Amino acid sequence: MNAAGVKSGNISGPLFLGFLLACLLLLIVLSAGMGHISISFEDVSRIIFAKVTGNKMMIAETGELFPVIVMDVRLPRILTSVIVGGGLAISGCVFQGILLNPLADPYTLGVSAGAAFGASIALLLNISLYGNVSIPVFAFAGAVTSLFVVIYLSLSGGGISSSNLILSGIIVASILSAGISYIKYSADEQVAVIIFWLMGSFASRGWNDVCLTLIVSTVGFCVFCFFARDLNLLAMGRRTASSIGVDTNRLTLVMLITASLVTAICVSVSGIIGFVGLLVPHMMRTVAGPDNRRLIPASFLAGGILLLCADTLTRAILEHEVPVGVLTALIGGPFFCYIFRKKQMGRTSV
Amino acid sequence: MAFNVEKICFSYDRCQVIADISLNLSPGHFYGIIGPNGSGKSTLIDLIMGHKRPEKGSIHYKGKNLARYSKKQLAQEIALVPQNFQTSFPFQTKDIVLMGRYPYISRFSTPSNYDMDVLDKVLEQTDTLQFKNRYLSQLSGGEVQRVIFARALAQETPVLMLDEATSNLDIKHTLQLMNLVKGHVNAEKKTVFAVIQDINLAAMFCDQMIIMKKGRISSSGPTLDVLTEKTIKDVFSVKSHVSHDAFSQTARVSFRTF
Repeated sequence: MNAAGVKSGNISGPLFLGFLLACLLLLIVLSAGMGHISISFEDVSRIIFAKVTGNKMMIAETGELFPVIVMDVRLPRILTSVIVGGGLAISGCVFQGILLNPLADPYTLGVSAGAAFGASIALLLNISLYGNVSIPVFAFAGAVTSLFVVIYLSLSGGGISSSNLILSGIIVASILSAGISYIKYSADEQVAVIIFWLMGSFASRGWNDVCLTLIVSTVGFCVFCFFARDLNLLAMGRRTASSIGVDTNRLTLVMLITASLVTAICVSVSGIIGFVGLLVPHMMRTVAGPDNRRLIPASFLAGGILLLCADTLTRAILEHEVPVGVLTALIGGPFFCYIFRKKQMGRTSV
Repeated sequence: MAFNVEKICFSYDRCQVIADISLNLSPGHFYGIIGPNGSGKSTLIDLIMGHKRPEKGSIHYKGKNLARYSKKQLAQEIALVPQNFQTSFPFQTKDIVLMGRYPYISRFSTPSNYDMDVLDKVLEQTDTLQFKNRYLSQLSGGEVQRVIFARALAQETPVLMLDEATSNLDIKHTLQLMNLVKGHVNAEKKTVFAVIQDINLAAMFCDQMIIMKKGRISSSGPTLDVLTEKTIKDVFSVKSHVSHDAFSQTARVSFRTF
């Protein structure tokens, strides 16, 4: 009982995180072998190990093609999906904690609508000034702009209230989605491209996407873990949290901006992928408990696993590639209904 | 002197709720704040505990301006038992009460043995030890209130703010907790600053009373001096009779509507 404050769930924290991490690594290697050309588990591990250690002797017998497929085609896409999944999940976790609302997710504050609007404009105007970079840049600019509009709208004399934030988020998101509809309507031949981007996909992601998302998610992860305990206190209400030593306004701003940046980068790389940010923190809260010091790492790993599975399913198992955003909602939605209902029946709290 | 409050004002959107209040609070007293709804009692608590900043005037705690304390320092000095409490997430009783120890535990370390001893002590004092491993959502309103009380006690602060802290409790637990706090005031010279709706309850435990009306202090001083039929008439506009009750050995106020 010595560390009761940390181990509030039913299972030991480090053990559970270790289990998730092992699952994730195993899945990464497994999925790198799956696809049009099937590569054995052994070969994949050998190729990755050789690349990491720089020992070329180990891949002498695998041929020239396999290392290229694994390292240049599959692994960037796999890692991007893992990092985006993790990033969306931890942002969801933080949004739920800050807004004191278990329904919040990375998209509640209009961040996704902003990103989608920015990307739609880039696609509509067919801006290819900076090559492939223009869409992520526009998406990111849209996400950040809408976030600051939302924060500006919800600021009042007494600081930032969570209901104001949610309300402003919904208002901004609905204006933007009307804007997106108009763009779709007026875009003749570009409409298919816009719609496809909005549905989210990891197709043809490269190492630069991996780096970008990895840097931002890592920074976000560190910030979230640093403030995880303060986030626990915030669950008791702003006034009480303040009396136990939390600067609530500063905490809210730092966490909101960080979580939104992580979301914005994820969305700008992958398009709109729903449900991961809502579903994963909920699932983890039932297994790992509500303590954010465990919940945030657990959500990152579980979010990565979930999105990697979904992406591998659409990439290597299904006959035709389905946009991964559609897939997560189609599978995640009903599954969420199931655990939500089960919780209601069990009468353990949400 | 614990607190020196000098001519503070505070308003929400141009509506003034605290108007020019000056106040001195010294250790070893149980202060009761009474007044009609909306007279600024909770806002006064927020100002004195540093959650809100006064627009004019100043508040000094132990001779130093409140604004110059860090949040963490203040959390080691002043604890709050709020009136309403709800949480959307499934925390257990022990998690909540241990949160009261956070000001003493550094960010990445686990609670010490002393912290765990404090946890058990305050759970026992508030009669909540049997809920230690239960989820807060499975407890009744009054039981939750006692857990929140335990959390504030776990902070082990020289100053305790009670914002209608016993309004959900049954009479047994109300008396038990008020007695406990009163004991801290007498034995350890703690300062208790309590907003209480029930005038008779306030009369029973508070040795000093502060009566508020429309954001101002209408009268303050020792309970027996302040609690008069005239003050009650002025502030609440009700008829009352103040007498000494032999059974409880305190002042007793009775009311009538005709």
